Amino acid sequence: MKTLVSLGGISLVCALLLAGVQSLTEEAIDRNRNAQAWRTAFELTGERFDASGVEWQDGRLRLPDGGWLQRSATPGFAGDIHLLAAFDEAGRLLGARVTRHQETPGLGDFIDLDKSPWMLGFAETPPLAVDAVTGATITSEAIKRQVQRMTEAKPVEPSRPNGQRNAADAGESERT
Amino acid sequence: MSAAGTSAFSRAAIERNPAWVQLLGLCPLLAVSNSLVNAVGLALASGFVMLGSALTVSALRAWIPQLVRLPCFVLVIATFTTLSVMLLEAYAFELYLRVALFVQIIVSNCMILGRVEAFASRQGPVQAGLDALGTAAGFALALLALGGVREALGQGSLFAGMEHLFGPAAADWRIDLGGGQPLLIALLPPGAFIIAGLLLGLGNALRNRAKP
Repeated sequence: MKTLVSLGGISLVCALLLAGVQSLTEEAIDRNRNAQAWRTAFELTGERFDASGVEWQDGRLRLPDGGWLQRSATPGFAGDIHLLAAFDEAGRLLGARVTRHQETPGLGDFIDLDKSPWMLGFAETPPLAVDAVTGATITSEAIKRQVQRMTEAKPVEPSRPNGQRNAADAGESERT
Repeated sequence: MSAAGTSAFSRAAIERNPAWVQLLGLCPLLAVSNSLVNAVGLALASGFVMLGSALTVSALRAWIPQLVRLPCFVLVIATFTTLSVMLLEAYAFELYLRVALFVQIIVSNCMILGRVEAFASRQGPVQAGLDALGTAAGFALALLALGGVREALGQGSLFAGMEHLFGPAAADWRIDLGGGQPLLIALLPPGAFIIAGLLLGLGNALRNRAKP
């Protein structure tokens, strides 16, 4: 009984510490993660747009040019892998990046663009045709399948006035 | 600091240096020490976890049942590891992106569990704190030595990227050593083993010379 009480007490001390620091750092962490998501978005779409006033809905963000960003998470080898993908207005995948993960250091490094160009493959090849990486099959397959799922999930077309689109582009995409 | 305090600190830092004498905590040591900035980041995080865990365990030692002491120690260490991850992500995001994975595995660093088990759980907070500081300093010394050598050989620079840790002013700290082709292997894991082995040998040679 005494053991249980001591264990409970120590757990409580630890929980209080964690909760306290969590509430202190929550805001700063959110800000950092958002800023990083925006940097990745700019990198993927190749253009800067006004990030104020736009809102994520169900993990999707409409861009002013008609394309959209999609974020999602999928279980990897260790914990969730968070992904961000960009699509152009015709729904073509522009590219995908890993924004957060806890894959094995070393073996799982290839999913960071800083360390390997592997993620660039999604801009060129259909997601499922990207080569998996030896020794990290689970990580590669998880990312490939999740990017494929994001590609398949076409957005519900919102009631967006067509006139906003560049006239030449609109004609082009309606013919196809 | 009293004489006894100084000796508790220096014993933990030099004579019982966790990395070079006891060969503990080598996994994060080898993994993260490819540049000085990463080494400093991990040294600070490990120091924070070491000190926090030692003080907490020492303060609570009367309430920790002997039978379940190890789960309790691991719980406390895991708590401080998580705290350091949160603090890094909130206030040093760039560094967090580079070293977060290794900061998370501080929880399994046997150096910390070892000192908490063997020392902090049997001593008052002052002694435990000094010992923790000494251990952390010893680990930092090992990390910095390895990180410095690897960065100098592998990138031909020292203190590169310090702005991720100490703000924009630290961008000027970078020293370029010049020289020819950098030795890429120093940055890769095999290089870590080779250089760690050489440093270990150097340490042993110095110690053997000190006591004839």
